[in-house]
Amino acid sequence: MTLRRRDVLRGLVTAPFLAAAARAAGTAPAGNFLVFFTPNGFARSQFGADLSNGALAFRPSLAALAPYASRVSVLTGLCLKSCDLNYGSHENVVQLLTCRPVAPGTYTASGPSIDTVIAQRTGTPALNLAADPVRGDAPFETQISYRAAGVPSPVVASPAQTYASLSAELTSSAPGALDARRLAQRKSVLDFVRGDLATLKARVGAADRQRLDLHLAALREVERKLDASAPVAPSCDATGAQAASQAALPSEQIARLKAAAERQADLIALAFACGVRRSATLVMGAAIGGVDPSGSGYTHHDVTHFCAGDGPAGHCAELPTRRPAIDRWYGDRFAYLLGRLDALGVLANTMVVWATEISQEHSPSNFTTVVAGGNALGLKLGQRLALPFTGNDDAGAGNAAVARDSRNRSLADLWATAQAATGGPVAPFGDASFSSGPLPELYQRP
Amino acid sequence: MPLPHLRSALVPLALAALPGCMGLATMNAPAPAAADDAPFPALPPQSAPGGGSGSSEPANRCAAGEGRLHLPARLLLLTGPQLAATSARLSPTQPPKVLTLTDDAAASTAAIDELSAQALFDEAERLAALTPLSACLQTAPADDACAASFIDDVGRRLFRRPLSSDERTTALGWFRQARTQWGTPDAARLTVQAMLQTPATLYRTELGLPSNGAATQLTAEELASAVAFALTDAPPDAPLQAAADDGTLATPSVLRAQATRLLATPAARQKLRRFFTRLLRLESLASGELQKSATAFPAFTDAVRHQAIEETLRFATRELLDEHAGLPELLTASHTWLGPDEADLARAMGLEPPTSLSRVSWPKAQRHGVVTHPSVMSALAKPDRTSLTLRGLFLWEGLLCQTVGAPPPGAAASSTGGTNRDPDATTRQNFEYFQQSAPGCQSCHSLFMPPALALERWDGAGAYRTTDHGRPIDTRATVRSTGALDGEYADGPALLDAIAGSALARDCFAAHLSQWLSTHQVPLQQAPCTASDLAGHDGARPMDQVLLEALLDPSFATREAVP
Repeated sequence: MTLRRRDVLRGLVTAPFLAAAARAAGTAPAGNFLVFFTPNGFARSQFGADLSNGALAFRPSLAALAPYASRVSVLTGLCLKSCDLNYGSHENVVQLLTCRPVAPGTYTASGPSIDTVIAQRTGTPALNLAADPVRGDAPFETQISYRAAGVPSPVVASPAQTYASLSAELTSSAPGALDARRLAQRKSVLDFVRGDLATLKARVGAADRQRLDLHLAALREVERKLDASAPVAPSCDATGAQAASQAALPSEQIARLKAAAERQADLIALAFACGVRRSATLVMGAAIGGVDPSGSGYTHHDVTHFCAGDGPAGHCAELPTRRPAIDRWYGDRFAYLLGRLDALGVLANTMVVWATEISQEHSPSNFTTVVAGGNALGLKLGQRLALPFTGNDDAGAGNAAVARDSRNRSLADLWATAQAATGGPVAPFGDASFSSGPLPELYQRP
Repeated sequence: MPLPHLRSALVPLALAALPGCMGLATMNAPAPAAADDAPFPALPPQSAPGGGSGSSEPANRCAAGEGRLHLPARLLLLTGPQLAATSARLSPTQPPKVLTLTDDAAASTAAIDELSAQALFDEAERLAALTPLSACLQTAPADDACAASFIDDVGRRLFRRPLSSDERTTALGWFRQARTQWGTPDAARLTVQAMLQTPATLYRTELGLPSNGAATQLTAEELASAVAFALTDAPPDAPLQAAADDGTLATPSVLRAQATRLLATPAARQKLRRFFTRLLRLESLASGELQKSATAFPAFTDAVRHQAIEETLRFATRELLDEHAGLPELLTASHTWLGPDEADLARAMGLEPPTSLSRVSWPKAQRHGVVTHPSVMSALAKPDRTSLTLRGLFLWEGLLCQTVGAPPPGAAASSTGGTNRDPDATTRQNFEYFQQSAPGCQSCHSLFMPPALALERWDGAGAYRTTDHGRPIDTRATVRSTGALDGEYADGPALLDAIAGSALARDCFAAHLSQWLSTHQVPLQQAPCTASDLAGHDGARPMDQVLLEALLDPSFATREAVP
């Protein structure tokens, strides 16, 4: 039997078969990768999981994940070792997925993020989405994905726009679905435009030539989508996706955030199921300016400072309930996302990571991290993985020394795990000083 | 000519005036985002050591022929509304979609990414199918004369100029090939589809005439497009196009007459509203991104928010276009214009809602110029309280064009600094606490925050108040490191009067207008003579005349030639 890559991506083959087939072929099964990002860390006493009779027992903020207990692992102990004394706080956003130190004063990444690396290797663009159109006060609040050093990935915050970016591939995926004449006409139009761009390039200065090169690259991507064709699979059914993504969003802020998050989740699952994307990020909110979805009226960031001297006064008593309520709200959205991936048959070959930029109180150490899906890729799920951790993880911003303690494990190794699990090399990721390769406790290549 | 040597001379002066305040970073590299992004680039101070910009004398620099604005030859990507206005020239009955491509400020640096390219591709296909074809193209086979005429017409509408002979030859050759493969009607529509996406449509050039020298002049068509998009966000209309075609547009009297005519159009008024939205930093309030706390400000409803913004934009544009007012009037006027649609705002301000659009006086002493309007004061504030940072940065950067460096790394973690543990502390007490508790921040914050204390009479939703947390408000404020404006001010009106009368604010406003019209990002303190000339040296020049002077200034139509 021939194992077709697109069938694998769409979940048309079962996870055990997938793993067995990969073993027989001596290769890693191809997989998808998804980062679900929420800002400002977690209230850890209520977040995470414990073991009960050998099974994961989720703490209250993750109660919605109970149906997925066998397909989730909860890790503690990872540290963002690339952060230094100057970038030990919410600015970690820009290096969260790159694991490379940020050049002082730049507020931008020093290399490509893991979603980009995986996307480039698999030959499809990364799908970089946001649920909250509020982008915050500064790029470092939400920009987790980078194409390269200093080049942030474009992020789409509107489900309608997400659908628009995928529609050509979703609706013309069958050979012949796009009339050959029409296809030839469209490609001819692109040729005309490319010719004019090349002519103009000769007349302008160096900076404008670079801009026109980017325009040319964008046209190549349009053409690539035109070329994309594949048989439509049962799990790749885009019927109704357009209408659902374009329906008006609620005007109330939190209802809008919920609806946008779920529609973006729908489209990520569909894109994975149809094999038109392999790597995605979903940013749920901004680190400083993002909304508190539990409804306090303050920003999520302000809530975390309810008991700090620099926060809004008079709300300290609310903190013990307010922060877990926020986490629980995000937990519900995460469960929804897993549900959609599962419904379309791609959870088993999708590694999903719930990440945040600080563990607590601006610390880059001892993160609690939720990993879900990907059992067909070799991920070891249903575990509570307490990785060894030494030092004070409540030491405030910029505690690079604890994060970099050689006894502590690196977040970069989680991304190295993703790199390997999605069919890439078994190798370190990011800055070589801070990564040793995939986490053996979490991953074993099938 | 490259940037004047003045730039290198100013940098050490700026650093000397602002120790530790990162002026150099602003000059030499793109600034990281500040706590609130400055709508216009911050300008380095003109101050010499021990003195401020108000005391510096531009005459010396002007006498040497330096200090003037020089812009490079460049490509400007059309904004979504500009492209839609251009595409509408093909078929006015089929309104194009307004795509998201860039904003004015980034027009000369933004590139088309894959999302934009896809959107353009889809929209071009849609519009091409709707574009009326001349009769000779609807039946095969069309002759070349018909096709050439069609291509010339489409090109003229989309490119805002006649096609070059090379462009015509290329397009006609492509049309013939498409006609052979797919027939005349399809070839015609595909030609439209291609021309809608070609760079001559999507970008406007400011490359100028061929030149062997360092500088070049914009072509007549480039100048017409620059004027039209600057004033109306649309391509040149027929009279402007005619002036370009007959070669008279570069004549100052013709250019002034055309610009004056365009300024009287509704499109120009609409564009000026966007200028003031940006200048007054109303964007986040207008978009709803900045939401006020219903607990702290129950009276600041959505209706009041919208009406307050409308009131301010109407006031500012009327002052400029209809009243021919100067900057001092904008900054100190005790009146505004209210209509029946602003009834909620009027009642919130203690005014009787007018039955028709009327000029009304603010209640005595409660408002003093546009800065103190409810919209501006609430936009420059936090959701639940005032903000000395936002208001101070607006005064410092927005009105005076003084520089503030980017916040140091890690500043975001303490971005709510300045609030002490006493829930009843006043803003001034919080500021004093902040001064003591965050000494590392004071090299910059001590410059721009103290002046904002003068505006504490207006709360975080722009309402006038006499107490803060039950205590009388002390509105005394200190300005330093500006030169002529340095000193103590009793309250907001006293400070705003001084700013309104200063050369610093006058030149700064002219700089903003120049940047807006030419969509450049050159700090105008690199071109102080241009700023002063535009503003007028006696302080009496009306704002609309400053705007016209910016269009007539040689810098508007001169570019450094492409090497």
